[in-house]
Amino acid sequence: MSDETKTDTTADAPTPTLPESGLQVDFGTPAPGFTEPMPIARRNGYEARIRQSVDTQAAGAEKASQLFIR
Amino acid sequence: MADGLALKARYEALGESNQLDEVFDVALGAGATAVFLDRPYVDFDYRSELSHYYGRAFQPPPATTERLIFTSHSEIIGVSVIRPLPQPVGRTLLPPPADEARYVTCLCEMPVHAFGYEWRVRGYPFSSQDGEYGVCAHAAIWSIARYHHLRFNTDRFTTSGIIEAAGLKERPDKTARSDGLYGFDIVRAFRGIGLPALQYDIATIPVISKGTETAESVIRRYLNSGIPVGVLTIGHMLVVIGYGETSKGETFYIVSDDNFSAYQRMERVSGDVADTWRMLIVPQPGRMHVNGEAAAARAEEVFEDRLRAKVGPSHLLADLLNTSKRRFRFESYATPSHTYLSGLAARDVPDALRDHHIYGPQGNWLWITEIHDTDASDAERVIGEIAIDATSRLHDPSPLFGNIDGWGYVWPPSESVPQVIQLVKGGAQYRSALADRSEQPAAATVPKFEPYAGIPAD
Repeated sequence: MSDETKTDTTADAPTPTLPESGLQVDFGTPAPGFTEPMPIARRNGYEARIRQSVDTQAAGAEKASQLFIR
Repeated sequence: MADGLALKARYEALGESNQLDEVFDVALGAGATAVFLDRPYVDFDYRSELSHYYGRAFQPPPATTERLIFTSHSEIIGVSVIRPLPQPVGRTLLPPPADEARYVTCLCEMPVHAFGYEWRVRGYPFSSQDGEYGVCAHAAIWSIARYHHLRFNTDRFTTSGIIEAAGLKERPDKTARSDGLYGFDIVRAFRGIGLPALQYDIATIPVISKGTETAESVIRRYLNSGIPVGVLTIGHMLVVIGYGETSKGETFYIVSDDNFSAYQRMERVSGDVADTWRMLIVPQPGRMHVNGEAAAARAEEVFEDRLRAKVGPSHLLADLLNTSKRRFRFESYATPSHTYLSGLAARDVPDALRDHHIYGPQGNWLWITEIHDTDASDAERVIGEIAIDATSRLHDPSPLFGNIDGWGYVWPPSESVPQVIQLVKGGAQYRSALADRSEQPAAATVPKFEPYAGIPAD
């Protein structure tokens, strides 16, 4: 019979420990505003990269119709 | 007296096989000192091919396979199923050779039952195409699918299941030999087996991104995630499963090619020749709506925002904006959130940051962008990291939590303004989750099997 079954790949994980009783995590308070305005070019750069990543996928889909693998 | 290499002669009647030669070379390079022959062996994958295709022939091949079991002095290190076909190398899982091991990022474990025990072997799944029922693309899809099954618990598929998923509408009792697949057939096959695939036209990556991305930057993010990257040339499909960086900063890859072996070192082929890498196909093992480029861009934006904020590590802003000396470098990878959290302790992340992230909001899959301090030692390489929700909108990826130099951040749902708290006064830097992939010199010795002095069985 085939010997393959699903495996647990977390064998190297550290020994689990339970949290201390009553542990509460403080996430702080909403961050106030900015000390420095972000240069417009940099701001646009980040958002343009996100838009471009969408266009990249469309170009990839188009390419997929052109390549034939034997 | 015989040694393990003599076993290759047993399969000469099946025809020449580069892949079989490579199986022995890889096993030796990975530390094998002996090889055992297990026969007959009933292999799940071969049985599927036999029942759907070969068994319909007037003169079908034998119904069983043989299994090569490679061992070191103390344990099984890998196995290879030998099919009774002209392309004999079937399901194989061997560790990478020692010289290439540090560059392979896509490794999984597979149980092996032999000698009355269950053993674990580690490597990247490999199978040669048979050239009849399946072509190279089927072998590549099979290897990626089996890898994701073993590493991320996705479903298990045979070649028959993959052919069915490609939507060829074949009836189970009327299967035909394969003529090949278009790129979109491959993408559809991945989608059909539950591994939705991202697609990249390599030539347009730098054009569309206006130079902010390259094939290398895109590929490295997925390899950092342990996600193999399919590569299409004109007529062939390879799978990239690792990378390294030369001292000059150039990237080279470890490639699984069903015509050769699971671990071939090569550089990306550019230009306009038959072997040029044309397209990337990246099957995703989990629900990931955000691709690597978008996640990285949003994380870098968030990092800059937090450095400009009135409360936070604003002392780092001058270094970020200093274009003459780049102190910070960004490295991104995708990960199941539980894997990410359980790895924090091993990286010496301070407890306050660990607790903050463990009890912060997170879905199943995250994109993590580490901010590397290039001035720091490996033990203090990471000065911050931002987690992006991989299931958020591709057009507007959402940060979930993060830390920068001892400051902790959580973004409540639908809020662009995070909650902030200083968790480690004086700052905190720790080890990266990503291993060092810088090129190291290869070993000079050629490994060999140990001589066998007994009488081999026939």
